Amino acid sequence: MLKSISRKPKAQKPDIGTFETEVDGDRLLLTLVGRWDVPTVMANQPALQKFAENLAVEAAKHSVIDLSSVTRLDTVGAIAVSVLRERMARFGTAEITGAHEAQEALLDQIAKVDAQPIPRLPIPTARDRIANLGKWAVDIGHETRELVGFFGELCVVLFRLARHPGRIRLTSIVNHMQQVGIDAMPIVGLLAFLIGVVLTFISGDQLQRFGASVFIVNLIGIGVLRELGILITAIIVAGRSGSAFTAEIGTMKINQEVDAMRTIGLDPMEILVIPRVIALIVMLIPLGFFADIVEIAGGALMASISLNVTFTQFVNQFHAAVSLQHLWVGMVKAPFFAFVIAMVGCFHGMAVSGSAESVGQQTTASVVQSIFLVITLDAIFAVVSSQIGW
Amino acid sequence: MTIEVRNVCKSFGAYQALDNVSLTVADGELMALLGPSGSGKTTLLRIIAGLDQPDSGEVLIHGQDLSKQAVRDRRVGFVFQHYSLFKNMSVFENVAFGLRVRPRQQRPSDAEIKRRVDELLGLVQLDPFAARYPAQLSGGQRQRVALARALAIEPKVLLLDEPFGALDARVRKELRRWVRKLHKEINVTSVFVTHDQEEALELADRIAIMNLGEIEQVATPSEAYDRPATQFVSEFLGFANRLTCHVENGIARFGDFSLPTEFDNYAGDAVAYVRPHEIGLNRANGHDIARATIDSIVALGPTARVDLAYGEQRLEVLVDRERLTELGLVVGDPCAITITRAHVFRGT
Repeated sequence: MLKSISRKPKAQKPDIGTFETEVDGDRLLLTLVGRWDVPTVMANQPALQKFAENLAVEAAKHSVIDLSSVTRLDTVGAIAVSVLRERMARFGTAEITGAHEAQEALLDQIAKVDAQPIPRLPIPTARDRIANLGKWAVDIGHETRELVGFFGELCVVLFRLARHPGRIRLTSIVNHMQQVGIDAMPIVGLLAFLIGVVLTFISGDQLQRFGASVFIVNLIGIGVLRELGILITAIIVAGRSGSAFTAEIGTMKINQEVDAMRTIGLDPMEILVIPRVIALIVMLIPLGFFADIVEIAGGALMASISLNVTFTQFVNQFHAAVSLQHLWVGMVKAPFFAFVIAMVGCFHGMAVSGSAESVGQQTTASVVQSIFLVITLDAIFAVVSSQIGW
Repeated sequence: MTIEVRNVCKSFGAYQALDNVSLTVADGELMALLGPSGSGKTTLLRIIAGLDQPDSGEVLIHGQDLSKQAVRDRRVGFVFQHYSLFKNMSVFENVAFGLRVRPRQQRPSDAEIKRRVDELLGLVQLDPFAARYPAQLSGGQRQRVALARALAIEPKVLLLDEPFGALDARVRKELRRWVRKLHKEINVTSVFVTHDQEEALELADRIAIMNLGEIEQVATPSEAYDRPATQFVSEFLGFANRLTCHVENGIARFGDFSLPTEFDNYAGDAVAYVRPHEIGLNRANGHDIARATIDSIVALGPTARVDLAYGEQRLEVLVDRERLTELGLVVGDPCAITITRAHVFRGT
C-alpha cells in the first residue's frame, strides 16, 4: 500500500507516520514517528501485521513502544498501539514511553474498553447442514399434517352448515365477496390485459416469420382460456386476498378476539373462516372469466396493431378455432384454486400466535404456500385433462 | 355454579405449565389466582374457559365436563387483559353479538336483545356510549364493555384474565371497587387472574396462590397473610424479613431470639419469616434481648419504614411515625428489638 501511495505522490499526505524497530539482545524498541492516525494505520497495516506476527521469533522479553516522536495520535492510532502492546506483553513486559498527558489519557481509555474482536459467526459444519435439512423436512411434515387437519375441520364445519344453513352468515359473505371480487377487478383486469398484450407481441413475432399470424388467435384463445386467465387471477388473488385473510385473522388472534368469540359461544371456523372460503369460491369464477375476456381483448388489440389481424378476422378465427370446451377446462379449476387459497390463508391466520412478528411470518408463508399449491394443482389438472382427452 | 378443577396437567413442549392442579370454587364465590408471571395462572384460567385443553385431568362446571360440550353451549364469560373488543362493531353491537349469533330457536327477539343490552350497559354505567366504537373509549370504559359483553350471554361462570392489568393505578382502584360491588349484585361464580397481591387481597373471597405450575395455598386473604402455608407464600404475599435460623427442641434460634415453632421432633436448619410490623422497636436500655442499629428511616404516610442492621442481617420494620417520634430514634441510634410473631419453615 505504501508503494502504491508513493507512486502517486498527489494522494500521499506529506506526513504519513512511520515506525522503526530496534532489537538489542532481549530488548525490543519500537519507535513510532510522525502522525499516527487513520491514514497512517491503514498505510502501515501490512507492515505492522508482519511485525506483530514475527514477534515470536524476535522473542523480546522487554519491549518498549516509544511515542516521543509522535506528532498526532487519534483513536485508531491508539488502538493500534494498544494492540501492539498486548501482542508484545505475551513474551514479557511491554511499556509505552514518551507519551504526553493527552495521549496517555487516550491510551488509558482504550485499554479500559474491552476491544475484543467481533466473534466470527460459527460456520455451519456439514453435520449442521444435514441436521438443518432434517429439521426443515420434519417441520414441513408437521405443517402439512396440520394443514390437512385444518382441511378436515373445514369440511366438517361445511357439512354442518349445509345441514343448518340458517347459521351461515350471509352479511359477512357478501362483505368478503365485495373485497375479494369486486375490489380486485381493476388490478386483475390491468394485469390480464398487459399479459394478453405481451403474449401476443412475443409469440406473434415468431408466428409472423412463418406467415402464420392468424394462428395467434388459436394460441391466445386456447392458452388464455385453459390456463393463463385463471392461473394469473389465482396468483393475484393469492397475493392480494390470501395474504389479507392471514393478516386479518392473525391480528384478531393476537388481540384475542378469536378467543373472545370462542368464550361467548362462537366457533371461529363458522364466523371467520367459512364466509371467506365461500366468498372466494363464489367470486373467483366470475373474476377468472373477467380476466379471460380482458386478456383476450388485450391480445386482439395487439394483434390488430402489430400483426394486421383485424378485429373481425380475430373474432371469426376465434369462433372457428376455439371451442367452448377450453373455457370449461379453465373455469372448472376456479373453485378448487379458490378453496386452496382461502384455506391456506385462513389456516396461517389461525396459526398466528404471540407477537405481531408472527403475523408477518405467517402472511409470507401463506402467500408462498398458496401460490405453490395453486400451480401444483394446475399441473395436476393439466395432466388429468390431457389424460381424459379434453 | 361451582367450578371443579381435578388433577389438571398441561405442558408446552418441555415446559410444565400446570402440574397436577386441583381447585374448587364454590357457588357465587370470587376467587383470585395469584402468582408471579410464568406460574401458570393464565393457563389454568384458559383451561377452565375451554380455550385450551389440558393434557390430563378434567374441569367440571356445575358437575359437567365442558370439554365434551360444543363451544356454543359452554357459556363462559371471559374478560381479557387487553379487552379484545370487536373493533368494527359499536359498543352496543359488541355486547349484543353473543346474543345475535345464537341459533334461531334460542335467539331472543330484537326488542329483547335491545332491552338486555341496555340493561347491561346501564349496569356497567356506559349507557351514553352505546353508539361509540371501542377506539373512542378509554381503557377503563373498554374493559367495562368487555365485562358487559361477557355478561350478556348469561354465563355460568365469569373468568377474568388480569382485567385491570392494562389500566393506570387510579382507574384500576376505581374499577376494582366497582367489580366487587357488581359481583355482589349479580353473584356469578368468578375467577380472576392477577399478579397484583393488593388486588387479590382486596377483591377476592379466597385466593389461590400459584407458583411454578402448582397451587401453593388456597385460603381467604387474611388467612393467607396471617398463616402462610409455604415459604413462597410468605415471600410473595406482602414483604417479610427472611431469617435463617436453627431449630432444636421445638425452638428456633436466630441470633439472640428464641422463636416458638410447631416442630417437636425436628432439629436442623429452618427459615423464619417476620413481617415488618411484627417487629417491635424500643429505645435501648441495657436489659434488651437484642440490639440493632438504625440504618435509615423512610416516612411512608402515617407509618415509617425503618431499616435496621442486626449483626449481618438487615431487618425492615414498620412503625407508626408518632411512635417513632415518641421514642426519639434517629438514624445511627442503637435500639432494642423484639419479634412478636414469626412463621418458621423447615429447610433453607
